[in-house]
Amino acid sequence: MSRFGHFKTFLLVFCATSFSHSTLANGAFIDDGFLLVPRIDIDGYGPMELGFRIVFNGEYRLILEQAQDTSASVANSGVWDSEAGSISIDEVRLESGEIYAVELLQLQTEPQILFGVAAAVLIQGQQSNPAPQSPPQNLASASQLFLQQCSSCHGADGEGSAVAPALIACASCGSYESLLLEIRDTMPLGQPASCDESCAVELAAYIQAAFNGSNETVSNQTVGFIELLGNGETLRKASEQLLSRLPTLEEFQLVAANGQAGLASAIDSMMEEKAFHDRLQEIFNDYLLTDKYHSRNGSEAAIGLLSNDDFPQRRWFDPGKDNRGDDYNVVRAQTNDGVAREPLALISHVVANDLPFTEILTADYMMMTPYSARSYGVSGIAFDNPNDPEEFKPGRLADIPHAGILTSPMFLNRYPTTSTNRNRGRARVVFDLFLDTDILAIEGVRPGNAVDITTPIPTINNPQCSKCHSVLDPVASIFQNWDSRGRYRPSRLSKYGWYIDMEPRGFNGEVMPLAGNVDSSVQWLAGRMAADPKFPRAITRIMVNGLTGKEPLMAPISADAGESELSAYVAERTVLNEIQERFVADNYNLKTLVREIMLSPYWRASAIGAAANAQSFTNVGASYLLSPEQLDRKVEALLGFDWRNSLDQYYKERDSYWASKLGRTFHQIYGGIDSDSITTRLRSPNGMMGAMQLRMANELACYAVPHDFWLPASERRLFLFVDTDTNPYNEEGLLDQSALGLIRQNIQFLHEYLLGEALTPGSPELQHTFDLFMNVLNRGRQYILSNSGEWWAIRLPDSCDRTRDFQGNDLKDVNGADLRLLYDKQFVIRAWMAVLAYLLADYKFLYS
Amino acid sequence: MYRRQFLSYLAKSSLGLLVPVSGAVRAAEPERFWVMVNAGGGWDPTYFIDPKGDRNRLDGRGPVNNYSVNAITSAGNIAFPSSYPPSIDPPDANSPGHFANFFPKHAEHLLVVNGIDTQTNNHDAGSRFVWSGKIEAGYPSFAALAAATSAPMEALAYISNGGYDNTASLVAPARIGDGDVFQLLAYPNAARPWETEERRSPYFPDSIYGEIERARNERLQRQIGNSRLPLQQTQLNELVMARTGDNNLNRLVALLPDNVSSGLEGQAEVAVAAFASGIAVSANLHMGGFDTHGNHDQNHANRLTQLLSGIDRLWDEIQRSGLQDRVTVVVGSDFGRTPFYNDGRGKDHWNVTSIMAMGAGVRGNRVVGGTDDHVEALTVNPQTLLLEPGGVTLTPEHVHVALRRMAGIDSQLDARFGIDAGALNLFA
Repeated sequence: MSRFGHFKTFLLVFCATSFSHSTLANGAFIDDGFLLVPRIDIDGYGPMELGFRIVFNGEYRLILEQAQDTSASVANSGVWDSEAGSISIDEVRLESGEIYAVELLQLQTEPQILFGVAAAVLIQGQQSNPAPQSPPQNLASASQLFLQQCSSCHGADGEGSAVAPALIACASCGSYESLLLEIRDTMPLGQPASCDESCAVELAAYIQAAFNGSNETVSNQTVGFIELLGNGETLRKASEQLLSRLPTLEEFQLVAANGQAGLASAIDSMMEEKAFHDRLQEIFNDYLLTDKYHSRNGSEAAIGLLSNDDFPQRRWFDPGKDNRGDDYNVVRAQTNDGVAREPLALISHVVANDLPFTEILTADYMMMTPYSARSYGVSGIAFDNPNDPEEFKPGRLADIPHAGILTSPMFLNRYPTTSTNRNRGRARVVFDLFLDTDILAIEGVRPGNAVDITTPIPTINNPQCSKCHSVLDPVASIFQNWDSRGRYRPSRLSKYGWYIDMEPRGFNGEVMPLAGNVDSSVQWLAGRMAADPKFPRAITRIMVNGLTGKEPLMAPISADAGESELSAYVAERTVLNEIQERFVADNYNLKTLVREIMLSPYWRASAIGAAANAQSFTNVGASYLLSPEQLDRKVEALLGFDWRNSLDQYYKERDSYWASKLGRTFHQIYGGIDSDSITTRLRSPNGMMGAMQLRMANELACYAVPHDFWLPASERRLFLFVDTDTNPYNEEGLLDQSALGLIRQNIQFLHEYLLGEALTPGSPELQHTFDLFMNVLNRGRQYILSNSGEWWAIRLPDSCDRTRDFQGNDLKDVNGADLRLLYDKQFVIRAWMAVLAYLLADYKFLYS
Repeated sequence: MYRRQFLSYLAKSSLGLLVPVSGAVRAAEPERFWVMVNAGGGWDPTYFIDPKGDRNRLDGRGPVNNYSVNAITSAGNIAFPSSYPPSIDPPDANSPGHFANFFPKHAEHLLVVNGIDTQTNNHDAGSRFVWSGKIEAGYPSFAALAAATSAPMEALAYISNGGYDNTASLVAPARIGDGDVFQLLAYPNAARPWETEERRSPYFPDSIYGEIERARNERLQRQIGNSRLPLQQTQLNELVMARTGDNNLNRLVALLPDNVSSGLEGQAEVAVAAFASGIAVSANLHMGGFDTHGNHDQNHANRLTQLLSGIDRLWDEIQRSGLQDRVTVVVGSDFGRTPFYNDGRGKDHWNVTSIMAMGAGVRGNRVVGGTDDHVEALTVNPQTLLLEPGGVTLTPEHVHVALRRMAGIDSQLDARFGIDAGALNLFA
């Protein structure tokens, strides 16, 4: 059975049998599948000891099985609010040792007293991070040293600046030892020799004592207010975000059986799927922007960048204008995209094979498809399917010193250079993307002209210039063997050589040894970068943005920054530092980074405790407006087709990526990027985007509802409990309670299926949607009546009816049968269309 | 109250939605409009509005330009070269972007400010400085400030076609696609929105669609009330804001030309129609291609012709809509280009640049500031604005202080994103 089929079956069973809702559960203490609450005071009963059996049916539920009097001397475990039907339990200790504050919500009283968990807040984890151990120091003298060596960039209070990160909860501040090593080996930036071991010892101790003494406490206090999604909800969120699909039954069962460990395992499994790699590539392309050369932006946008001298076979697919076959354009685009996607494919390859992520810089190969390999003139690669244009395998160009993305023709062309820029633009991007260092974010106004043509070598001799150029230019010189078009042209073989008025090749104050590196200097750089502690920080930044829709908080450097801002920053940074350490410890496995981010309170946040200062939590949570690509995939996953024109016309462009409105007409309007002139996504909807959401919901409802009713029951996705003749009114015009029950049941299913929203039978939201259905139905029946049942009053809008299948077959006469769906005599179909139009425009559908 | 403040207020208050989602009650329509035209990549003012000609420099670096110094002429007080370098294929003599057509037509309305020191030769920093007035990161563009000041809740308060469009979360920038999409978006319940009203074929009869909209809005209100995550509250409020003005897009559709042009002209047509329909305050118009490190004379001439043609269309549209006293146009670029050529017949980055301005609040037929023969910025008297040794070197900060005064930017916003520069009466 397909993954979808599993999930549908699960929901079907769930809705048909339980017709109720529940979430994760825990207890005052949990033992052998029971939650035991020593004392709860219940109106009319007094102090009671309660025992709940924990069951799982999709998610956790608790059945009250024991209730007996207990002594008033037993400490009260919480509060039973009989009016709200809830129990607040102050502390619930899990078998793992974690302690949660839990709120239970009563779901039903007959035939069993059943509870779900409304909220569970971790108030004490298993492990705690020991405070950094710093050797005793003379802090006064260390303070002076800090002012001399560090404060000009990091600020006297360690709050950071545009050119240097804050030292409060900094990436290396998790331990004294790691901080010491970073200072010793990399600081000051570009001149580490000016701070030796003893200097680093003193500074590391000072930074820990002055800026990081209370981080753990602040972080724990802040994070403690974050209430988490249950494991089941987290699973759905993870599968939607990583794969644009719903969780499978097997994944639900895994989480049911193993709790958070099962959740982690399920996330790991998701990262084995192709859809994850599609999403991963999107996340990284938002930074690399190499999709500028995808065939969407020009049939040969990437191929055209390959030098004909170097790659005479780059257009191997063209037999000449007069001899082109029908597949010419397709093969051309596929070849182009094999070339264009090479750096993103390398990222996928590294992740898929659990290689250290540093290999995206150090790989001594590049990625090739069967088609792009022909363009490169490379043969002998063992492809699984030599005719699969999307299969990437490692390959090597003869005599080229590959260094992962850094020597990718796409990367080098996306960030080109000139004879006067001299690779500085490339160096800036390298610092920004892979070392999380924005060389250009320079505070203040520069005195005098920024373009100095009078000083002999201003980038070296003018201190205003050399401040940045001493860091930037050695890396720029590293790229001297790659020309402005990304071609490998060793400078030593050039008639003019490299510029003598540039800093020599190097990185971070270290001059590159020429021996063995002259023609492969980027490889040398890649090795240094891979060992730099700023590299994991840079990758963490990219992945946090990809998974939460926003980059990590910057240190609050404004003079009027409040305590809440600082707390928010320290708490998030501390959590991210721990995640980053696990990423590095697991040999830079990116899957570990993804999993740890998704299990963190910042990704799983569902609410903030009532007593919390909201200003400290404005960045908490992973909800974000889905990108047009993600929304496109979600629509297809849930409805079985993407958003195009009428389904009767679907067959015409069935296999065309470009046919989707979210991929074409509305792509940029809805905040998408073209990786060329539009390079940043819109994260907040504007008026145009708001209007587009409504149009999409209306159109999709029009297409999806008749289509689903038209399908055989076994193939339906939306209407599992009702049919077009499931009419709330019987032939006498009286309400049919049986039909009403089925309609409610299907509405409950749609909330779960489309929005991930589990509603109880008595839920007000279910009632609101039901009211909409009935309201529309009644108005529609009146509409038909007042028009005397004329054909046009009972006919579906012609863009919504079903007259052709997805293969283009006319349904009017299929083996003598008319299978068209044209009429809606009771307005039932259109009432369901209204429900769909309502749900598909919902926040929970449009946001992650 | 600007957008972020408004959203924050909503998020903190228990009032939930204050704005009627249907747009039935609207704030006063904006009265003043702003267009920022960005020549992306760093233009060469010496090619057109700060002309130098082909006189050789004394330092042996050759001429600043390759057109004849004798070709420099003027329209009113605006100097420009009447011809192009002889080595290039010149633009069509009938093009509205040809210098000989553009400047005589527009000089009366045109203000040129030369000798503006951007203090950088980096694209990002230059673009940021020129359009926000601050070289530091994180400051909103002037267009965003203007939109936030007068109508942050309008559907398309700030239209951005690219360029520097940082908003510091004050407004949501809107990107525009083809003109056709406005019809689709103006009538979201119509299967054939391009038809007359009776033939639009609604998905739902109007009364029923009204029920759906009401249900959607009420659900949003409930979600805002129930959310206990500040991020979600902000997002829900943003969603409300985004849907507030959708009914007004039909007014924009009615004002668009039958066939919206491509390129800068098309951007101009949409922007002016959005102003005229009262749903936009400001717009970034953008075209790139000015980073001519190679074959400068030909490539730059091509791009300048397109740029000036687009501005010509913009002005025509503004006049056609009767908005010439309510729209201010500012044209600028990342920085300037070197006053000499490199080995590839190109020009590299130079920190000194110019801007042009026209329209409401701008006294035309003037040139303020200037540069010497080597295109170093000359200083001006801060009162008279005449060139004066020892005076003030103009920077983008001066431009933005003057713009903010003219626009009456909200004082809180002005202080929050403060600019430390003296106030010069550059525009009036």
